[in-house]
Amino acid sequence: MNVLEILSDPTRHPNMEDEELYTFLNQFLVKHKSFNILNTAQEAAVCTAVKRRYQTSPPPPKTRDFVNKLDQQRTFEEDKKASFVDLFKRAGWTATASPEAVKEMFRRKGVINGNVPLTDGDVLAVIKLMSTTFSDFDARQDQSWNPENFGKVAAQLVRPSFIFSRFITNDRCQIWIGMLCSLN
Amino acid sequence: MLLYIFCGKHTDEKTIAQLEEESGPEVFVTKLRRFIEMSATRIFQGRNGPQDPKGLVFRYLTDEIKTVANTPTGTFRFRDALSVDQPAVFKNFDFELFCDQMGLDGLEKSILALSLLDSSKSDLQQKGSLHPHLFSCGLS
Repeated sequence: MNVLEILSDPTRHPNMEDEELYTFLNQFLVKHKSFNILNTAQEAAVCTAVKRRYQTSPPPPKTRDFVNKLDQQRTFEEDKKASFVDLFKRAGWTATASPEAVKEMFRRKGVINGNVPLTDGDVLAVIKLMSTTFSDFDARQDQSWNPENFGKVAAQLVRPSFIFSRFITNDRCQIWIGMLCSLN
Repeated sequence: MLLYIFCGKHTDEKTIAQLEEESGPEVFVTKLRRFIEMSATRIFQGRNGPQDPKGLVFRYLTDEIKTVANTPTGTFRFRDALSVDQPAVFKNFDFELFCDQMGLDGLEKSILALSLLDSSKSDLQQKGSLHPHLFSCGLS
């Protein structure tokens, strides 16, 4: 049984205290990083295993905070490297489930306080992704891309002249056309 | 005091534990080192040696190592116990075989291996850096 299996199984080492588990994880993932023991994917797998361990019971606070902090750092680093459309690909339709969810995607890409490191091409790539993977059937159950939410936030944060706002109707086809036209 | 412990004048566990508590980690480190030395034949050759003909010390050692391997905050004591060159058993110490003989699982092995990364001995550091990679994640 390897470490991942043991860490994810709450019946193995059930009495390990918060401080001890935290110390191990800190040595494994942070303190001895210079030895290149684990790559990024392996580090993520260790964090996932610890989270799985506490799926059915409250996680001990020190370990929980440590793992969450590492996850946040890793997400931040991955977001910096990923393209805007990749963030949406990874997140799926929930990324447009609400204006707040869309804003979070923009924030992850560094769109904060008027700073807009995105181009029209970045936004267009997302619109293309949404239009090509949109499911009308799922949308009726609110489980597909929501172009209204995306358009509103894009207009607000990236392109105030985004003519999409004229196309807020119930006809999603018209919305796609409107958004695409506004970028060309 | 150590003389008392190892000459058998104070053999009950309570007395030893009390002496350890009073004297700090050095006593534990010395005890661990002595236990490893006395059990070396059993660990590395698979048979009881003259210093531990009934394997009693080996059993004590197994218990102690299990405890250390489950307390990452205290593994420096294991590292310190191995960070010597004498007696000969500590030269080119076969860490992998040692862990196997102690019956440690992957997590316990990794906990001990990580402690070796802080060792002043470069060969121990190397063993520590190789071992978590070999048997920890299974993702290599």
